[in-house]
Amino acid sequence: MSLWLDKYRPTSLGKLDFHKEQAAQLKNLVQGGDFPHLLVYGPSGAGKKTRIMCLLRELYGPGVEKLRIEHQTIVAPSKKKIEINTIASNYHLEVNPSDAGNQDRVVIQELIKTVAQSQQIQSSTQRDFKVVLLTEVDRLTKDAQHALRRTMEKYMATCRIILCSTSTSKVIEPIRSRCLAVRVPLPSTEEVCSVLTSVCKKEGLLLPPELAKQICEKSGRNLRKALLMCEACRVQQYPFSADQDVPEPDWEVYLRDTANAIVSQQTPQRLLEVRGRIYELLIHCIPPDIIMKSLVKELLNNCDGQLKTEVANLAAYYEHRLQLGSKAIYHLEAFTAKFMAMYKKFMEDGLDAMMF
Amino acid sequence: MDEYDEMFEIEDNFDDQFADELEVLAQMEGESEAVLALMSAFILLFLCVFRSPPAAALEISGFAEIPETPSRPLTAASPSAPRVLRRPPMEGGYVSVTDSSGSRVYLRQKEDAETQSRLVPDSHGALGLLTVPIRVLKEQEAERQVVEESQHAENEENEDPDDTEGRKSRLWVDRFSPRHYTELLSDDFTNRCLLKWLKLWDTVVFGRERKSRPARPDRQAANQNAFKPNQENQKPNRFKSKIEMTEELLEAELDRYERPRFKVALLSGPPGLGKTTLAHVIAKHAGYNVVEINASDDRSAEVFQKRIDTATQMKSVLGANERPNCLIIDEIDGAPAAAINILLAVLNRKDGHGGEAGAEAVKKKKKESILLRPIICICNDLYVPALRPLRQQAFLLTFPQTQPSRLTQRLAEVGFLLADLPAAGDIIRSCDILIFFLLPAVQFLHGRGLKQLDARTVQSVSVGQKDQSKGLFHLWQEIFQLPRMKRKRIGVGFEEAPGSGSGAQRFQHVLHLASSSGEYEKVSQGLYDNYLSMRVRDPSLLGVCEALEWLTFSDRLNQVILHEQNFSLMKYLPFLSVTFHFLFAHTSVPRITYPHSQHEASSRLLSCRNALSTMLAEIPASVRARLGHLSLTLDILTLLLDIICPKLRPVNPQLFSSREKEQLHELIDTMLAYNLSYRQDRTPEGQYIYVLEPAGPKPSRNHQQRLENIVKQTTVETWVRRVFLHSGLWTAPRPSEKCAVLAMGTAVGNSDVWFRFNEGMSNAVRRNVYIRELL
Amino acid sequence: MQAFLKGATVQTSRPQKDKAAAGPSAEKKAKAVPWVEKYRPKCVDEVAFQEEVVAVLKKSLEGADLPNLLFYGPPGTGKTSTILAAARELYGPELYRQRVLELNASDERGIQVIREKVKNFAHLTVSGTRPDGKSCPPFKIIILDEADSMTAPAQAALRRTMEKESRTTRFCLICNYISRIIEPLTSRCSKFRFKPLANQIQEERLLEICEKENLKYTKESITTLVHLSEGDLRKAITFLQSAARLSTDKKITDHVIVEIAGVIPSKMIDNLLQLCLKGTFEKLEVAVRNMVDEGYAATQILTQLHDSILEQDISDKQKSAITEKMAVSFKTYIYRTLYSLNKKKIYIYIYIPYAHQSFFHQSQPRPYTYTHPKMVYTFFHAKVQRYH
Repeated sequence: MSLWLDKYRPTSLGKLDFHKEQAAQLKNLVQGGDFPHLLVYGPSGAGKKTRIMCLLRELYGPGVEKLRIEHQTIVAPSKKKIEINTIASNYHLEVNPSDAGNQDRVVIQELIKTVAQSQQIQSSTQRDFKVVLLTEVDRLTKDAQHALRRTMEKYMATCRIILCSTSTSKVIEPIRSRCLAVRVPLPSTEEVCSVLTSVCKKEGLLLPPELAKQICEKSGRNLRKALLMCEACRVQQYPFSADQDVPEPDWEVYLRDTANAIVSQQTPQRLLEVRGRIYELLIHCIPPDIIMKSLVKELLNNCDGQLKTEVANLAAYYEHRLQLGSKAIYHLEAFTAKFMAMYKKFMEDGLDAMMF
Repeated sequence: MDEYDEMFEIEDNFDDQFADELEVLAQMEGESEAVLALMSAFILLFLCVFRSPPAAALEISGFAEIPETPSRPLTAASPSAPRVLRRPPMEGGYVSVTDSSGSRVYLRQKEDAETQSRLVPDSHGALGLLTVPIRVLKEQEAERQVVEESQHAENEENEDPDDTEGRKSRLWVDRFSPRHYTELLSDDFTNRCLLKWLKLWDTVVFGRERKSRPARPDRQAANQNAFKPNQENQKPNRFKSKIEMTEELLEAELDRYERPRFKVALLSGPPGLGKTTLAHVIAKHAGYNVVEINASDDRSAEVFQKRIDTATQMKSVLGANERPNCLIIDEIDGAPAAAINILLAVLNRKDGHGGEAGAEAVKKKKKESILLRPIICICNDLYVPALRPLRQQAFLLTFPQTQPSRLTQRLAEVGFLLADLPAAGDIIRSCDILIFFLLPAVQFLHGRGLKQLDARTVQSVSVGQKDQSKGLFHLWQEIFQLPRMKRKRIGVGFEEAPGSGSGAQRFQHVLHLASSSGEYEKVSQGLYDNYLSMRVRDPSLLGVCEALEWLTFSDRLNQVILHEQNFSLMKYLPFLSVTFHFLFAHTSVPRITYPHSQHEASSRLLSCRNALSTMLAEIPASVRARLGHLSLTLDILTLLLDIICPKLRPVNPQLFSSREKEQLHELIDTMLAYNLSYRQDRTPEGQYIYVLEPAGPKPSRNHQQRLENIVKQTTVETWVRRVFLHSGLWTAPRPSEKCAVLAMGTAVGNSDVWFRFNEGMSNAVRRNVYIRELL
Repeated sequence: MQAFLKGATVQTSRPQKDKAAAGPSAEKKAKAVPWVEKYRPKCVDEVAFQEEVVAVLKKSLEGADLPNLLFYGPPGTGKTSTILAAARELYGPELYRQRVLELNASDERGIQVIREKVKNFAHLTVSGTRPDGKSCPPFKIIILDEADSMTAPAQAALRRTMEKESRTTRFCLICNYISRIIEPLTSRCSKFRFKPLANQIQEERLLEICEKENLKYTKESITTLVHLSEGDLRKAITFLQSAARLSTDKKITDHVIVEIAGVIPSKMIDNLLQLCLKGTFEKLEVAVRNMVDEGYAATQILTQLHDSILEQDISDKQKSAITEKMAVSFKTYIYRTLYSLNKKKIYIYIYIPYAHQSFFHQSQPRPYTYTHPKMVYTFFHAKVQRYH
């Protein structure tokens, strides 16, 4: 537990560093005794999970932090066995149903049913319900979400469900309307800076505000990233200097190089090289939609106003196709090729205009 | 005599007529030069025959080979009988000639055999110019060959009396299959390679049996004496002359049992090229007794094992042929994976294992159980999944297509009366150069009482075409290659071969091929992997965009088909191939590689995922609870690797300041928390390197290397020691022994103190110290 | 499954038990029951705003035959509540368990289940009297909730069963999108569309609950609630309950409601719109990124943007062009967008630069976009009309 990230993670609602008002509301919620299903959403690195854990602690006391990993085997109706890892305490169970891929519906149906049906025997615990924490709900299939709908109502008496997702766009309406939605925005720049400074202080380090600012920018307000970057900076060089290099995730750097390669030359050969690079990224578990997004971001930096509009339009189109298809590489390459063609035409037109 | 006059007049007009013709032709645009040249040659030839034109004309045409003909005195041609007629002559043989404009004249056949024989060598047989003499010559030739053949057959019958009664009923395929190395039709190089490989076995198979020859010390020598003196030594020298890639493979050293490095040869190629025949012939040629296992045999695991054992370890004792066995496994691509695993096990068997199985069988062998006989495997599709393990261990030989010329030759040898060479070409082309299809086709025609083949018959029969499923490579080839323009033969108007011609035909052809292949997924992958390397001018990348558009469309289509089980949409998949054909087809022969990329990517992705999940699996729950898969890959991991390579002074850890010690402490904690450790690996050079485990998913920069650098900076020893000491000093009570893994000092053991001999700067005090004394 | 109680004639102050199908009979702690369940209508009469269905069901309560039913409509309009209430009234509490089979998406509903479970249940014949002597219809009811999530083969398997067992069994299919039910099924049922509830009725209902629960509230909060729930009473009640939980002692303000609903402050939307109209791409990019970082859902941004564009002072042509773009970039809501397009009768076209740019950044992956032929058809239909 020695990453700063883990070391200085707040453990109770009162100690949370930002969105304090929300924390207070959550506290109210717990004390009110009437606890609904929750849907916690917000961008990654905003502290959703931390908040949820704090909330659970508030609900059940420190016992909730005694975690264990359980391997569960669920047999689907098709007799196929699904192995899934859960993290559980005496009071709650955390599952990432999307681990089961297409079979996530079965996980939802079976796992939650068993948890919900096994009531807590000990009446000494102050709550008469358990909590099931489902992560990455936005990656659930539609089937699974539908399965969740009724389950949520049925087992209300014995079980509460906390859903954790990055966006509600992919959560179906019926589920949203059954939950209390808690939005966790990213911390503001100042908040990130102050968290970084206070962590460094606890470490006995001095963090120049400029560097804090730089880290914050590079991390895109993602607190997790910011803390990691800060620690990486510390490893790289201490005492800090205000203008030192902040290490970035290497896949981002790699993508930036890829974008530069695309812009610098537009030929089938280059396309082939880009294909290799995209494959490389895909192989390293970077999800295709994230590749797409970051690639577009980098490409947008490289082109002019008029073109930007078209590129954004193009990207939207291909990202949609990407979601519909199954072979990400085709779609990514199609986007790249189209961009190349467009960029080339744009540049050539520009040249012509200059010459005449 | 009116008639006579009329005819004479015609003859008068003749060269005017053709001169016009020439002019018109010259003016015609779009007519290929070849046709033009052909026409002019044709006409000139007639001019030569009838007019004895000036030498200048000949030179213009550029056909220098013709010179002899015109010198023949024209007077020899009887003036009384004009040879060029407007309508067929009443009597005597004639030949019709049609020029490109469609006007037709008839040439009377000459009786004068002498002239003919003189004409023939001068004309261009291949162009079909002088059909008459060629045909006659061919007939003569064919007759001669029939005679020879029958004599040969008689000889054979004498040699092999069993054959006699089956003689008539036997398929030509059998009857005319090659019996000797020299008769092989397949590519010389392939033949040689296989033979050479087989010869590599000589050392182990024949070497000891026949004491006459000493064990050859090195491979080169073995190659040069590849042929034993008592065997037919046909062309020993040719083996040395050609050095090819594949042959270099063959130069590899023998292993310690003096076997060649590859113990199996794997022949692959489309059906009908003569792979099995080749294997048989060569095995016989090299002095082996052939044992064949093919698809008709039971190939379940046990039976297969038994047969392999018997074949490789026993020896036929009956009869005169006391030759060692050579096992030929035909059609191995249809064998179950279990059988192939057995084969592999046999290949890799070391001595001392499985000894009893072979013990009873082999005599005169010291190491009894290992494989001591060559095995030749034959398959059509090299890429059947079951064959994958075998591919790596086998000597691969891919069969090229047989040269049409060789086939034609063989057809002639077979004794069939071919009408003319072009017809033979046709039948060969339509049978796609597959010997198996060819011979039955010819036999079929023969059976119908045809003694002569001409192109039309062949076309009308169209035996052996279509429905055979062609290989994927063939399909890709067809898609990426424009059909070669087939030369049009004058006067013989038949439909064009499939795949050539106009867009619509090409469309249909490719569509047909693609839809009959059935493996759309593979096909589209192949297209995807290859299209960018095609030589197509596409500066604005529009074609590429178009192609990708189609690819994404077909991907989407696939998705719909699979998800909604809507298989009626399947019929739209092959259109992808058509698009690619029209976008990327080129006249040059495409270099097509088998599409590995996707499979490779998915398997590597899987291994990355596995690495991640093993990493996740061991992470303590308290950390794990905060860790998503995605956040791990995207944020944490990359930066984590930065964090765990702090700069540490390469000194003895005891000299570290408390701050540095603190840092080290944290490092170890972090690594423990994230289930990372170093595994000590020994490189072939004997250096120790530390490999981060599990290997996280890393694009671009190689963190491992950076880490190694660090490790090198501090020396190996201090690292081990530091980590070890560290775990000893600060984390001694830690229950998890992962520290020990980290410390890696297995040699040092799990005690807190260890002893190093000769350590320290001073040798003043030197005494043996045992660890137990210290404890 | 919102149900609406008509007028003030409600006598449901005692906490009601959950639906019979719901869970292992839980400890009936009143506080554990969400208000949605608590205020679910108990008889057909209490169902508000859906007159046609109520009329039909009432007839059958009086002894008339009941056709196979297909309820469809947006969520929260009372579909499930209606049929459950009707069934309870028909059979009374004892018979209810024997006579009603409720299957929803959380149950296994593959083709296997349809073949076995449903068939077996349908086979049983039942008498026309209740144990207590009252007459009841001589058939059973199978409720297939969330039928639009059934696979097509499963639906197909239902076809024949439906006809064969018509003597003993009635089916009630409930779905949001009728277009996802295969044609043969829809033609075998009488269809009822459930309308989104009128604002006034919602407001009445909410005020009533507030009263019962002793809530302190501001007038605006209720108005906002009604506005945000868009005719979905379940949503409104859930929001109300959540707001009540969050602000235990304080008054419920519209601010809390807005936050709970995940609605984006209108200031942000206006800002975005202004940027779309005038700003540069860079500024827009920053604004969009900021919104995403704030955690607002893309769908929500689009919906609100859509609403405010309709109120903008631009020509109908422009509006139509923009909304069309939105529909494309937001296929999930294609139906809805078109609906509003039709309502406003805007079928004209002018291109506004930048108006659609924001969509890329918002177009987070949406795995559930579906392009049902009918929707696409509607879409094209609209397009064609535009040119007339």
